[in-house]
Amino acid sequence: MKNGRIAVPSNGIGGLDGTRAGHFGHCDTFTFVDVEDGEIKKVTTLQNEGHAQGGCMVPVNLLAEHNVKALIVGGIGMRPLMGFKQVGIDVFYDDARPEIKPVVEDLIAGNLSEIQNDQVCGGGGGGQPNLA
Amino acid sequence: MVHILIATPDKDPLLEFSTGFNKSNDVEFTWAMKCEEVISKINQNKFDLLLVDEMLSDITGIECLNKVVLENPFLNTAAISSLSAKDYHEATEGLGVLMQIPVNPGAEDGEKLFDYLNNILKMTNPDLKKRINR
Repeated sequence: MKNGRIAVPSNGIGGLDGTRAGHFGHCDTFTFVDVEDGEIKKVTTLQNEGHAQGGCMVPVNLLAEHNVKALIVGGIGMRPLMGFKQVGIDVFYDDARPEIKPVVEDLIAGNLSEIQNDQVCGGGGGGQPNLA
Repeated sequence: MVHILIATPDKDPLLEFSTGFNKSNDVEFTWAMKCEEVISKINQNKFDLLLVDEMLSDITGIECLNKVVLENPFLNTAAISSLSAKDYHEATEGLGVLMQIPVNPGAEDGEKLFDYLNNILKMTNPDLKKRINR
């Protein structure tokens, strides 16, 4: 990904040197990384809104409103995944590395894969986040 | 107007439940018996909530929700289920179902679901506050 805004569900205050949250909907913060011509130009954070049972579309709307182009998750349910697809946000998957920076760098370099339907949490999918 | 789609092969046991929504004067119910009908209706009309019975005329309610989420993830859903809390959680994980409704629900269950739906609609679309007449 050479241009656009990447979002990473994060623990605590987030930031490029922060750590990733396992379930995107329950994260404390979203770290936004703005990329231009394959270079990181700006890093900002946005506090997540409260997560209620069935409120999966709240963060979907939130990230769409903030012009996010790609999201990196360690775990996500089918409903929000379909929601992100409908609003045009690509969802990438890495359930192994807790740090934000290396997965962002991998996405920029084209080394992360989009999440597949059989990697989602629940519903027969095998994906369960190993992140905190 | 809040539009509710209820999928059940037998609507009579759910009529009392539906009265729990009567706090609002602005609720319209649509009924379906099969998941196939549900898919057709949600592709033709906008609903604020889909409630599925435990068993529909063709497949189970939860199986239907798995199909619905692929068609319209923005549709809020609830499910009538006799599963234990743990089994229900496992069966519906990732589907973002608002609430498990007991079998043979009463008006109080309808009222509880309506209040919860109201909160979710406000969170996902503040403009809907104006549409919900409480």
